[in-house]
Amino acid sequence: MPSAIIEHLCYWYPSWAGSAPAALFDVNLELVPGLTMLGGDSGAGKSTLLRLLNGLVPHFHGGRIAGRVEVTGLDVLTTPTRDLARHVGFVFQESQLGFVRGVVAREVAAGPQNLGFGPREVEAMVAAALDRVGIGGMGGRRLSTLSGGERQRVALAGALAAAPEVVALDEPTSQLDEAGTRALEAILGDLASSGHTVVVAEQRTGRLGGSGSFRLVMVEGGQLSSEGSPRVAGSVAAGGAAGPPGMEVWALRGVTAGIAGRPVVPDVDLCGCEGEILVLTGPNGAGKTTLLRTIAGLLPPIAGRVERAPGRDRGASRGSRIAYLPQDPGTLLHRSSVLDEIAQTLRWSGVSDDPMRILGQLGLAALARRDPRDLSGGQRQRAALATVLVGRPELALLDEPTRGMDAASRVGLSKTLRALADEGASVVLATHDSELAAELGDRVVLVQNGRVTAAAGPAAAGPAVASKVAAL
Amino acid sequence: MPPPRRCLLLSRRGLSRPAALGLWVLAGLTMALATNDPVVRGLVLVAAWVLLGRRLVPGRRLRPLAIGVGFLVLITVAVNGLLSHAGASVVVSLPAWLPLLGGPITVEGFAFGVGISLGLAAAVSVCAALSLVIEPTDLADALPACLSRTGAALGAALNLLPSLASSFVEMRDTQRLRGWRVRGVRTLVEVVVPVLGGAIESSLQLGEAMEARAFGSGARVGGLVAQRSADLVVGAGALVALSVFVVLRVVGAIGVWYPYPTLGVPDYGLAALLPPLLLVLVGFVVSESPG
Repeated sequence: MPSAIIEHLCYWYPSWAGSAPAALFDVNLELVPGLTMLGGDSGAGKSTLLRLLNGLVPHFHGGRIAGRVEVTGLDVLTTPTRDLARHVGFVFQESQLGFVRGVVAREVAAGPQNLGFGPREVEAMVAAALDRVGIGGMGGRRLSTLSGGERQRVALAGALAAAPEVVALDEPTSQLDEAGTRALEAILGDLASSGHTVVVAEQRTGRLGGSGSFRLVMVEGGQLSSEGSPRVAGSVAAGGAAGPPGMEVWALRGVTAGIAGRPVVPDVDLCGCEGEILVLTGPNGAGKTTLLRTIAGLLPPIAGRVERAPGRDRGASRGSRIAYLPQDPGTLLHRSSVLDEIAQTLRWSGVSDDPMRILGQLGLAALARRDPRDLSGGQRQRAALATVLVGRPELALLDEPTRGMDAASRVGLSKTLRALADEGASVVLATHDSELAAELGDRVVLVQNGRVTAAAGPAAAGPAVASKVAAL
Repeated sequence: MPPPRRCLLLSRRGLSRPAALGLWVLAGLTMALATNDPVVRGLVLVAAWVLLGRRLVPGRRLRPLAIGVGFLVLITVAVNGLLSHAGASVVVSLPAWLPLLGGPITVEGFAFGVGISLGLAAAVSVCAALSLVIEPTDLADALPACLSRTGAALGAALNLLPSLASSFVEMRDTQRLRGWRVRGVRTLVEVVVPVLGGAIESSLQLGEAMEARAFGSGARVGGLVAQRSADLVVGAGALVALSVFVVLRVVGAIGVWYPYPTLGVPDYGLAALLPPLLLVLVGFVVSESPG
C-alpha cells in the first residue's frame, strides 16, 4: 500500500511580481516503503516536492495549490504540518539552522516532546534514534562541538526519534565527506529495508548509489520527467594543468592554523603557484576551512607566517584581489538581482570585466535578473561563485564550491576554474568531493586528524584522489 | 523499538543546573537592589565575577561585559559627583553660572555615586551569568512544563543573538575580500543591512524546522534536565543566603546607608556580611557546563 499519493498536483509559491511559473506542475506520484530518490537539476522542484510530504508546502510557505496529496492516509492540504510531523520526519539541507537546543540528546528529544510523549518514552526514543544513526555515545555532547557530518546525523536522529513512517531528506550528502556519505547510505538502506518510506532529494544520485535497490524519480522544471537508473555525475574532465606551474602566489611557512588561539592544523608548510589548482581534501572537521581562511588572511596564524607574493603587473583588467567563497553562499548575496551583486564586486574592487562572461560560464545567464533569494540552493551557490570570480582574481579560495550543484553546473564550474588557472591565477579548493579533487586538482593535499599529510590511503581520500596526493 | 536505555542522567524532579543558577541569580539580584550598602553590593559584585571567571561557557567573552560595567560605573560616579552638590566635605566649588555643574563638588556626592554604581554593576554582572555561564537553550529547557513552549520560542530567539554577531564578522570578512571598505556610516549599512536580512532568513528557516518537528502540537511534556549534587548545593546555598538576607533586612540588621551630610562607615554587625559571603562561596560550587 502506498505511503503517499500525489495526484495532479500543481503548486505556485507566493509572488509579489505577479504571475510566477508553477514550482510543481501536474505531478502524479505514489511512494511505497523503500528508498526513493528524487533526482534533477538545481531549481527543478525537488525540495518543493519533498516539502509537500509534511505539509510545509503549502501550510508554511503559502502560495496556490491544486490537486490531491495524501500521506499515510492523511490529506496534506487539510492537515497541519504539526500533525503530519508524527508520521513524516524531515531533514533539511541546512540542518544546523533548525537546531533549537544546545545538547545532542535534548535536540533529538525536541520532536517527541512536542508530540506529547512522556519523559521516559522520550528518553528511550532518543537513545534508539542516536543508536540507529551511529552516535549513541554522543547524547551529552554540545552541538557546537560537532563536525558537519555529526550534525547531519543529529538532524537525522531528530527526524527519526518519533518513529515516523515516512522520512524525507533534502540534499543530505551536500555537507558530508566520503565516510559520512557511506555511513548515511547504510542508515538509509537499513531504514528502507525495515519498512520505512525514505525519500531523498539529491542532485548527485550516484553518491548514494550503493544503498541497495532504490527507485529514481527525475524532476525537471517542476514536473516528473522519468523514472530510471541513477545518473552518474557528469564528467568534469577539464583537462590537467596546461603546463608547469608558475611563480609562487602564496605560501604558509611553518604555520599553525587555528581559531581563537586553539590550534586546528599545526605546523603546515604549503604553497600555491600561478596556473595551479590545489585541492585541500579530507573528512568533515579536519581543518580545511581553517587553512583556507588562514591563506585568505581572515584568520591570523597562531605560529609561523603567511606570505603573499608582492603585486605584479597584470594589466588593467586583471584584479590583484582574492576571491573567497565561504561555505554559506548567503553571506554574499543580498542585492535584488544576481547581476547587481556581480556589479557590486566590480565597483568595490575597481576592476573591469563583463558580468555576462562569468554568468555564461556558470550557466546563469538566464538568471541574471533574478533575485538571489528566489533561486534554489544550487543556483545560489553558482551565483555566489560568479560574485567572487568576476574580475579574474589572482588567488581564488573556494570552500566546498560544488555544494548543492547538479552535474551540468559542476562541469561549468570546472571549466571556469581551469580557465582561471590557465590565465595565471592560483586556485585553492577545500572540498570533500573526491571526484572533483581527482579530476581537477593539479595537486591534492589531504587534511586529516588535524594534520596535513603527504600520503593518504584510498579509504581516506578515495582511490582516484590517492594517486594525486602531493608529496609535501 | 530497541529496549529503553538511559542516554543521560535525566530527571524531571530535583534541581537542574540552570534552575540552581537561577536561584543564585535571584539571591544576588535581591541583595544588590534591596539595599544600598556599598559593602554588601561590592561583595555581590565579587561573587558574580568569581563565578563568571570560573564557569564561562566556552566561546563567550568577558571583555565586552567588563567594558560595559566599567563604563556604567564611571558615568554613574561622575554624574552623581558632579551634579548632586550635597555633603559637607567640599572638594572644589564651581562657579554658579555653570549650568548644572555650578556649586560645591563634594566627597559625599562621589561616594554616593560609588554606592549606586556598585549596585548597578552587581545587578548587571549577576544577571550576565544567565547568558555567560549557561546556554540560553539550557535555561529555556529548565522552564516548567506549562512554560515549555514559551521556553522553546525564547531559546530559538536567544540563539539568534550570538549568530547575529558571528554572521556580522563573517559577512564583513567576506565583503572585505570583494573590495568593500569602511568609508563612513553609509558603507557600514552595506554590511549591517544584509546581516539583519540574513537573520530574518535564518529565523524563517528555523520556524520551518520547528514546524516540521511538531512545535505547537498537542500537550507537550517538560524538558528533561540533567541533575548533579553540585546543583543541589548551589540551589540550597542560594536559598539560605537569600532567606538570611531577607530576615536581616526586615529586622534592620542590614540598614540603609546614606553618606550625607557627612561620609561615614556603614553601621552594622558582621552578620550582615554573611549572605553575600555565602553567595561568593556557593559560586565556587557551581558545576561546569555539561558537554
